[in-house]
Order: sequence, then C-alpha cells, then structure tokens
Amino acid sequence: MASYKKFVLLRIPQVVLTLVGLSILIFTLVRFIPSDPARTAIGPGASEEVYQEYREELRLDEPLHMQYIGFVQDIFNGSLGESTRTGNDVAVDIIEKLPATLELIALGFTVAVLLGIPFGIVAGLNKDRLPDHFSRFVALSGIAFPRFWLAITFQVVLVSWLGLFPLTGRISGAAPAHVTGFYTIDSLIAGNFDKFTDAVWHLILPATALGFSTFSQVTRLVRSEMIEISRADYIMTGRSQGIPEWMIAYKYMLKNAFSSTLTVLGFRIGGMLSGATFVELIFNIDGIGRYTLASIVRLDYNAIVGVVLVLGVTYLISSAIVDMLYGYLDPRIRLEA
Amino acid sequence: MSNPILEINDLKASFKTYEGTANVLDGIDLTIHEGEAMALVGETGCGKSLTTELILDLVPAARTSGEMKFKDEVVYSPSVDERSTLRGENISIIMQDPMSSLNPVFTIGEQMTDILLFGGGEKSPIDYLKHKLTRNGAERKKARERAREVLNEVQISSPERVLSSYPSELSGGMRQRILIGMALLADPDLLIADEPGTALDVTTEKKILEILKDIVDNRDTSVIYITHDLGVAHEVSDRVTVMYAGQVVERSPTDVIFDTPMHPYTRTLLESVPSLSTGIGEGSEGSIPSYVDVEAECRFADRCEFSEAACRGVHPGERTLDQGQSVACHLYKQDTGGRSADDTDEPYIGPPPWRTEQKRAD
Ligand SMILES: Nc1ncnc2c1ncn2[C@@H]1O[C@H](COP(=O)(O)OP(=O)(O)O)[C@@H](O)[C@H]1O
Ligand code: SF4
Ligand SMILES: [Mg+2]
Repeated sequence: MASYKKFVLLRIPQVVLTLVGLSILIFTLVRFIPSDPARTAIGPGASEEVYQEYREELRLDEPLHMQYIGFVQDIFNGSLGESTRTGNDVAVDIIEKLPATLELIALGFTVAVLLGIPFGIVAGLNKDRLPDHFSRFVALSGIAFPRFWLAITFQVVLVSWLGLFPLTGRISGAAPAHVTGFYTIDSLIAGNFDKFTDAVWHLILPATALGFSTFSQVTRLVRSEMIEISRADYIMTGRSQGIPEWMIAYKYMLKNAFSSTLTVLGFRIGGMLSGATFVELIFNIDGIGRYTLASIVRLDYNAIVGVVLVLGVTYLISSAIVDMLYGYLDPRIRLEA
Repeated sequence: MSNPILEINDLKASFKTYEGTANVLDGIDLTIHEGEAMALVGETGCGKSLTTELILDLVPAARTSGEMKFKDEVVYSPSVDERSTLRGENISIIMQDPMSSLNPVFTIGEQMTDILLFGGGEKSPIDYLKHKLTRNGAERKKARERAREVLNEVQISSPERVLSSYPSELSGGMRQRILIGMALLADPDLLIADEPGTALDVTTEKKILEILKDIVDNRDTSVIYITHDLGVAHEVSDRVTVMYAGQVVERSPTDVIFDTPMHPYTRTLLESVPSLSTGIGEGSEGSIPSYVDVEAECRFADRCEFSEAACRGVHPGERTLDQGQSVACHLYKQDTGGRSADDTDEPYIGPPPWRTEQKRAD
C-alpha cells in the first residue's frame, strides 16, 4: 500500500506545475486579443482621462510579466482581480456562480455513469442481439443530437406538451438560506424537504440534456471494452477452470473493463463544464457557463482568466481522482509508480 | 489397453472471417486412454489449441460439429452439448501463454480461491455476496490452504507471497507454474498442457516440463501435451498424434515414430532439428495453407514432394500400419482387414522410397 500513497503524492507537484503553466498561457493569450478591454468596459463616450485611469487600475500599461506578477500577488490575497463587467472581484463572482453549474454536472454525470455502465455491460454481453442494437441506437443519438437540441426538445415535449417539469430556473420561489450555494444541499441543511424536491425537479431536464452525451459515451465504451476483454486469454483461463459465467462477466471482465473506462470519464467532467453554457442559457440557470460567455463578449480579462483557471482546477481534480481510482482498480498502474 | 477417457470423432470447426469461411478443423479423431500421455504435435496454426479448447466449449465463435465422449458418456453430439460441465473437475487446460492467461487485476490468491469456492457452476451470485459479506472465514482458509498445497506441488517456494501477488509482479516462469497449479486445483482426470514453457527461456522450459511430468506421474492423470516440438514429445509422451492444417496425419507410439516416421510431413518435422531448444519450421519449406477455400483434400499437398492429382481430389483416409502406427497418406495401402486391396476405392501412389528401402532391408 506504500506504493499507492507514493503514487498519489507524486501527482501533487504535477498539479501545481500544470496550473502555473495554464495560468501563464491564458493570461498571455487573452492579452493578444486585438481589442481594448478598458475601452470596452467604460464605453466609447468616456473621457481620455477616465480611460487612462482605468487602464492603470487594470495594470494594462505595465509590461506583461509585471502584470502577471501582480496577478499572482492578488491570488495570494484571495483575489482574482476586479471584473470590468460586474465590478465584483472575479473570485466572488465565481464562488457565486459555480455551485449552480457543479450541481448540474454532478447530477448529470452521476446519472450518466450509473446508467451507462449497466447499459454497456448488457450490450457487450449480448453483442449483435437486441439489447446491443437498442444501446447502439441510444448511444448514436447521444452523439448525433447536440445538447441545445436535446434541451429545447425536452422543453417542448416534456414541459409545454406534457407539463411534467418546470420550464426554467433552479427553484420555485425563494432560494434556501445560502450555505454552500448548492440549492439541493442548502435546502436539506435548512430542513426544507419540499424545497429539496423542488430543486431536484428543476435539475432533472438540464442535467439530462447535459449528461446525455456522456451517458452514450460511457455505454459505448463499456460495451466495446466488455467485448474486447471477453476475448482475452485470462477470460478463457477462468472459463476453463469452471468459473461460472456470471462471475466471468461481472467480476473478471467488469473490473478490467471499468479501469479502462475510467480514464475517459475524467475527460468528460471537463467537457461537461464547457458544455454547460448552452444548457444554462436555455434553462435560464445563472451558472458559470453563462458567466463565461458574458465575460468573453465583454472582453473581461480577469474574469476570463479566472474562469479558465477554475476549469483547469476542476479538470485536474477530476483526473487526479480518476487516477487514484484507476490505481486502486488496476494494480499494474499502482505498481509502476 | 485401458479404457478410453476421451473420444473425439470427426470434429470439424469453422470460423466466419472477412475473407470467407475458414474451415480450420477438418474431421479430427482423437482418443485418449486412462493414464496415457499423448503429445499433439504440429506447427503453429495447425489447430492444436483450437482442438483442445473445443473439448471444453471455450471458443464461442467457432461453428462446430462432430461427436465427443467422456468416460463413455456422450458429451457432444448433434443433440447433446454438455461440454461446459467438464471444465475443471473432469478436464483442465493449462493455457498456452503464461503472460496473458492470468487476470491482471486480481491477486493469484483470489483467482485460485474463486476456482475452489465457485468453480463448477453450481454457485449463484447470491452465494458470492453471502461469502463476501460474511467473509466466510473457515471456508476461505481451507481454500487458501489448498491453493498453497498446489503451489507447493509446482515447486513454488514462497506460496504465501505468491498468493498475495498480482500477475504483473511475477516472472514468466512463476506465472507458468501458477497456471499449472490452477489447473490442478480441481483434481482433473485429464490434463491438457498447451505448449507448456514454450514462451519461456530454454532452461525454464526444461524445468517446467520436469515439474509437469513429475506431477502427471504422481497423480496418474491422463494428459495431452500440445507442442510444436517433436523433441518435447519424445521426452514426455507415450504416444504422438501429428496434425497438419486441421487434419490428423499420423499417429504412433512415441518410440516408434522417431525410427519410422511415415507421413511425409512427419519426416520434414523430424528433419528440422527436433531439439528442446529450437522450434520447427527452419528446415521445412512453405507454410500452412489458408483455411479459407482450402482446395486440396490432403492439405499437405502443396508442400509434399510426392503429391499427385489423387492427393488433391481424394481425402486420404487413415491407414493402419504395423507397430501401432497409422497414417493418412496415399503413399500407403489401406488396411483392408483381409480383403484384397482392389476392393477399396482409395488411390494408391506409393510406396514411398523409405518404405521400399526398409522392405529390402528386412
Ligand atoms: N476465435 C477464432 N476466430 C477465428 N479463427 C480462429 C479462432 N481461433 C483459432 N482460429 C484459427 O484457427 C487456426 C488454428 O489456431 P490454433 O488452434 O491456435 O493453432 P495452434 O495451437 O496449433 O498453433 C488458426 O489459423 C487461427 O487463426
Ligand atoms: S496424400 Fe499425397 S500429398 Fe498428402 S502427404 Fe501423402 S503423398 Fe503427400
Ligand atoms: Mg496453440
């Protein structure tokens, strides 16, 4: 087990280095956009004096490396710089907007994985039979239909025609007292179960629209892994010793299939974060996706850099978790460390 | 002779491939007697592994026909298929490649105790859950004890360490021993060893063969050794069956076949330096024909210096010779059981030069 700890610890410097690299990259890149953020922020009517003052406040006249050093200093003071659009510290904005999106992703992802794995298993074990054809249809539609199309279709069919779900928003009436910003968690903390069900009810359609492509990917992946592994020599060994078929499938094949599927899941979380924008727009959810879009349109340097860093951190955390699980599932990875 | 333990009659197997149907096994007959050590010999790709895997119904992709009996009971026929019930307790296979034949994500101990506790197909998933929940101490301990025993039997000196290791932590020789041990767990009546040790270096291969031979002698099980190396067959077997391209071409007691190889293919095999260290093939030209659209009835015809039109048109049935040998080749006369040779339709293009020399010497 010592080697496993080492395996986990080894990742920490990797994570830090990646974040430094990412921040330099995005920090520099936004500054190459051929447009003037100060002018965009204060509008074309403002006087030259005000404009210059604002540029100084944003440190835009300093050389690039000085700007970056200032940015890093700010981070150590718990600030990501002021947003030229909202006037708040970007860190404050992000803390406010992120929970709505994370809540969406958490539900979408969990459901996608919990449904995708059994779907994939059944399809893989019944290759070219009915369950496999069905799963192929579902999986293909997950790839063929874009998120926004799914979202709008849900709204038309399930909301307008059938009236099964609320159309937009995160909750009916007032939000629960703020603790974490996750309405589901906050309403439970407040002991308000009605609000909890209401929040979940609001989450279902956007989470499904967001998670569907992940679900279909997981299904396809688990299916092909199961088929691949069913041909492995060690599976034949198990069978030849009389290991029953259920054990071959659900123990001997599944653990192998799942450890390769995990890698892709890590990528998907990052993908869902960037895919959340459309879903937030259509379901009118005030999350990080919409915030990002607005920041880009208004050339809000600090906000863009802040959001990208959050994306990076989320991605790194999820891939670190995946790696740890991977090491746990597959001894070969663990032992190499 | 003792009773047959396994009889295979006219086993055929084909696969659908992108190029068309590959007719790999072309009517294999095999009989193994109790306590007998048989070597199944032939070059890579001739269908040795496939033949034995089909005995335990391990190749779902194959379309198969024929008949099999285990201890006089029909286990496979057009109307019966009980082959999967033979797995483990009756027949066990030591798989060919030690590097890929152990599950990489479970410890050796877990794989072995699973065979002991759940092998045989009577246990249900509920039993498994119960076992996991109650951590069934006594039963598990007994299984681990038994696993240690077989690891001792294959001369592994630190069984406890091996049991808690994953395959990737162990050397090829170790994994090969473990595979042998696994096959012994359920005390099979017939053991099939698919190219044991071939994937390893020569010294390790020798050691593995010694261990295996000791075990077989001690336990008095019947065994099929699969090998592409007649040298190995010479060391370990009582009887040799030679296969070429999905057909049995010659059968013989081991000591006889080295003195009087009959089939032209067996002769090339012997000429190509049969020793424990070298494989075969260097000395024999050509390779096994494609199994898709095999045209010749004797599949060796393309490589045979004696082949004639008859060899491509008529399947050479097996002819029984003296000294317990039999051969499937038109160079020999069909044993007619007393009738005159003219009564059979079999073409006869022989005798082969080595036969006439021998006759003259008599
Ligand atoms: N599952 C399969 N699908 C298609 N072809 C197969 C399969 N298994 C074996 N074969 C074919 O059968 C032939 C014999 O293979 P094998 O029994 O492994 O030979 P050997 O053990 O004598 O080297 C090979 O040509 C191989 O391609
Ligand atoms: S039957 Fe004909 S081709 Fe085949 S081995 Fe005999 S002589 Fe050669
Ligand atoms: Mg083989």
